[in-house]
Amino acid sequence: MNREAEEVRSILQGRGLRIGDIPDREACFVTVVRSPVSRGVIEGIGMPELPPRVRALTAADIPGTKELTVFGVSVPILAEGRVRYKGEPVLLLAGPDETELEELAEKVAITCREEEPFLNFTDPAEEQIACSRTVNRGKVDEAMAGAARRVTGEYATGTQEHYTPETQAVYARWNRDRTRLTLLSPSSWPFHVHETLANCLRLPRKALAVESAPAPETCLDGKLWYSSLVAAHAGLAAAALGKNIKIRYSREEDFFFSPKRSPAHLRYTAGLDATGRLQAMDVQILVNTGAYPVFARETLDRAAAAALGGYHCPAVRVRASAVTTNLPPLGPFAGMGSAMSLFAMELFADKLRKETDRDPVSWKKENLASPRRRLIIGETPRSSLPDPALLDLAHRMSDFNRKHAAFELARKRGAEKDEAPESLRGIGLALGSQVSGFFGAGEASLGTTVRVSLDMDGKARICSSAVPGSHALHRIWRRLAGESLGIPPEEIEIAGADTSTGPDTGPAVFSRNITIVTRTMQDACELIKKKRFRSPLPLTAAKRYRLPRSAGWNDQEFTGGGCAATAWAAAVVEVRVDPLTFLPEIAGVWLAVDAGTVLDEKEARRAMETGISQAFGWALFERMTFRRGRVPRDQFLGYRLPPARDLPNPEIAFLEAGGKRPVKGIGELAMNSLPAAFVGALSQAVGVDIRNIPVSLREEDLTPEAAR
Amino acid sequence: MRIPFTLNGRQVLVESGPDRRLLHLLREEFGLLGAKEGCLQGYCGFCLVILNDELVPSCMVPVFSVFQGRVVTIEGFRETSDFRDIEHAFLAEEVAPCPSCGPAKVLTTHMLLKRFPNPTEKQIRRALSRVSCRCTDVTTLVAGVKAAGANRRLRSHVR
Amino acid sequence: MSDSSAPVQVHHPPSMMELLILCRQRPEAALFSGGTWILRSQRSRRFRLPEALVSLRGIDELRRIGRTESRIDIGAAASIQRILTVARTRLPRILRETLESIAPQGIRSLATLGGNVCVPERSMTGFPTLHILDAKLEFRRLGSSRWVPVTSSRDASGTLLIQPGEVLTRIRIPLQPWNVQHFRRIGETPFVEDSNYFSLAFVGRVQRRVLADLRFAVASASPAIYRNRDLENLLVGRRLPLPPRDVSLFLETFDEDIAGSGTRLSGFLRSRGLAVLRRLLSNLPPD
Repeated sequence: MNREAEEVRSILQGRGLRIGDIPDREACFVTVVRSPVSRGVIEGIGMPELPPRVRALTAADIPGTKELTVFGVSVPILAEGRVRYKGEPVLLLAGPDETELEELAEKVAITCREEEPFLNFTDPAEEQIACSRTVNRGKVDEAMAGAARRVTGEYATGTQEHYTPETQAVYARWNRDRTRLTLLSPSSWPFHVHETLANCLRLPRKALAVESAPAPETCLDGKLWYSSLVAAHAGLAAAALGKNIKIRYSREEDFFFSPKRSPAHLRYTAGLDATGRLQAMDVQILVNTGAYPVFARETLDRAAAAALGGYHCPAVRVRASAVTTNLPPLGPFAGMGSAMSLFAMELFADKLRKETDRDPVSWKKENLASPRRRLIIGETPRSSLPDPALLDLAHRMSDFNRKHAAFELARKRGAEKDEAPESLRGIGLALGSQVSGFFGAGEASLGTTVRVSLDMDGKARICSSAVPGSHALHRIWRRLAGESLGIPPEEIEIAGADTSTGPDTGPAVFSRNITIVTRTMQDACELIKKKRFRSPLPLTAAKRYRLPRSAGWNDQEFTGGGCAATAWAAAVVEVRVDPLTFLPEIAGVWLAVDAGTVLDEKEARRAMETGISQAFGWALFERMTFRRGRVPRDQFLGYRLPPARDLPNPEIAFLEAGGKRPVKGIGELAMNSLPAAFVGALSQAVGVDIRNIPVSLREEDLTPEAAR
Repeated sequence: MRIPFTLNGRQVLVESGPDRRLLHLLREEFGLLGAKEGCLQGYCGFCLVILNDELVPSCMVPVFSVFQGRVVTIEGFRETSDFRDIEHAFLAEEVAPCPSCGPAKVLTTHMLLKRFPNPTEKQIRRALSRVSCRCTDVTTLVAGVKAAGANRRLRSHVR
Repeated sequence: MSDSSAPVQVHHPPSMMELLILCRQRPEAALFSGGTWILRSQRSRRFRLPEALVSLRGIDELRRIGRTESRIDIGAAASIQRILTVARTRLPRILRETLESIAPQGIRSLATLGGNVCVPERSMTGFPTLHILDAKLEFRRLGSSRWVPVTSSRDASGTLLIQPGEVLTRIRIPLQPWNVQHFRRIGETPFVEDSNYFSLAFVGRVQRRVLADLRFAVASASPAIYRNRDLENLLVGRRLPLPPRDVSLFLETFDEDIAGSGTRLSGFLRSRGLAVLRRLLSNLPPD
């Protein structure tokens, strides 16, 4: 039995440990006391009498840097003076009894001078704009004025909870003489945790180590940077008490206060020629980042690059802005940036094709980018362009054209009869893409490194800080490294992430593990292979990732190949809607995928299907809104991940194409294509152009005709 | 209060406040870490155990109500042949859940197969909807449950 | 409710007799089976419990499910999941559909039909179905028992008419030859506070193209349920298919009536209720 199977076996037997499960009877706990207001200045903190075993910690107790920093954006580790959202951490209570801490925390009274909070992001005040990205191509106003037809559309996407299997957690453990603190963290970016802790505690780098969780967990962006904040809280408590510390958020605490997906609002205007071809596009994107615009630049770049989806338009203007609000941090989530734009663009495309009375497939094909008719980011390697064959494949798999026409006809007939049919039916098709790795030149700044060594006994060891999202990553690495080094996969050991011994591989986000990190690992293996001819064993090679030469990113102009590779998918969703209750049933899902070279097809299908569930969650099942600066309590009880019984068995096909093609990340592809296909299908079924997700099936969102 | 009950086939007696959740009792007093804390509202299914032959979320069970009851956790169930049918099938089909939901999915599969030895896909999907997790894809899970059913039917046939 | 430091007294009567004695001695003690209503939305690590509790776990009789030709008897403490598992194929379709809609799947193994009937704040999902099926509730106390039709088990404000010291022990559901059975739940789960939902139960009997009997009831997130026998009688005895005029009159009356009832249905839910009823009435099978 291979190592991954052993791991799975121990999980099935109930032996799989999460960070919160690690037994340590001596460990102390931390409870976070949070801001009661959305915006204001802290005037005082009324404390209950604390037993000697309990310590209270505020920002004043932080020996080093009081903020953590993510790509230039700072977030206070504990709010000092000013609070920026309801639930912002202000004070920590650390002690040995979780229940006691819970009770004490309720007695802490934080008083604030409240200020009028910014809760709206669709009509922002100037001071709310954290950063913007503007892209200009051609003469938009002229082209718009000369267009045969002008069409506008407005779209909105909602927030979503990460709902990571294990909630935010960390375990900080001292060594015997308390000179070194090791943190077990579920962070998908262990070196960021390390950096944050070292700065916050003002400790030498060597006095710290950050290790990844004992078992892999789906990589969700909820643990991309926020785990560093939680780890800093644990580090502070560990230093203050001189004890090991365990923090585990309850699901409820996680739900209300940890970061969520950024909602967005998008406005589109298009100028078309008489045949329906795009002549000019003007796009405005507003992204709600909550109190701290973490990853906002990356989000805006991805949103701007995806603003036109896979289509070409000679004159384009995109203005994307990150808007801060007094809400919990809203930021990265699968499909970050791209998903919102692709959702809006694909629905807008559907509107455009209706205006010119075209069928969806032919409109899309006609406007699709090609080597000569470029994408918004300019010249792109052919392998990163959308292949029209994807649309054909999706259409063939799902019988799209026939069904679309038939459902359209049925709907029109039904409307004439003024009688609700047995079920309303609809089908939608949408194109989506995923950029692997950080956008533009972002990857170059990370210095992603993988180290491989080959021992005298012919055993190899791979060291990185890549946090795997499933057992498959290591299985794939063993196979690839084995092939490269000419040794059996079982002779390859893969070290878990450990910042004290391994190299920095950057965060597990944007499918970086399977693309950039895997490529770097393979390069390191190749290096070993070369060295082997000249040098005796043992051998070690560290390889640093370099952007492909074709990348040539120009940030000013917003042009260039940029990322490592772009994957594309054409998604089709068919729905049935109960005409009496408007409850939709997902009747079918088809995905045609251009994933480049597929390293493990079974695993690729699984990743797609896991993504499908998240995508339907975002579009339909998972409902989360903010009221008066926080998520209302009833939404916690009502929040549901898509249940297995309501999801269809998807049909997924990978586009086969010859030649050497790059490996492309696909984990976000479903998120970036399905929501628009689903909403398109639903719109056809109920006869109303739905423009927002999550879809609302309430009266106020449906016109009287639909509610017949 | 003193609460006698049967835990994984063994008579136990525990002294505990009645207001504690069974989940915490199992984890803190008995070191049984297979049932995981999730939503504490009985929805997500991470903490499922078998109480008096019914699959229940242990977070919603106050300890007084297991008085003289029978509790089976994954730690007890994993010693049975019924478990091995599921384990072999899941490994063969490469069902790889995360530590949060894995044990709950195993127990759910067991209770489903007890009721429907040869379940349909619909029945499987319905049953699995009790455990709500972002980790695994449903198609693989369904294949795993079907294979587990086949293993169990084969074993009972041979016996 | 006590806080976690106050002592909670828990009784574990091992038999019905001891339960009834206890209930006479401690009528204020809360009866606890699945406890899903008491424990719902409690967030702290420890539950806040009533000061005195009587656990019903030890009393097998309260979980028994029995059936004869003419009725099905369900122990008040049988979990919804258990009823569905043990008696699934023998339940009237409308009852099965109703049970499958009660509570989120995860806690159906703890929630009980008895609990569903007894919840004081609102008429729960199961209530309208039991109402139209002429279900009866058995209340027992030391030395006596009585059967009360569900239809008269609550007063006008929706309060359950149970005497101090009494225990709901069984729910008896007559098996009648309904050839139209329909249950719909529309809206969010009742476990969401301030929720917007309703359940509609509908049964009908058609004989030789005549609507021989018709009953329907609606419940929402309020204690009161809606049922109007005059409205039901408006259509009973009519030949099928029902004349559209009669259906319209029926629906208009329903709409006016329910707006004024205590069910607090939103306009959207009312319109969905009307749509469901229109569909049902327009599609009654000829036989």
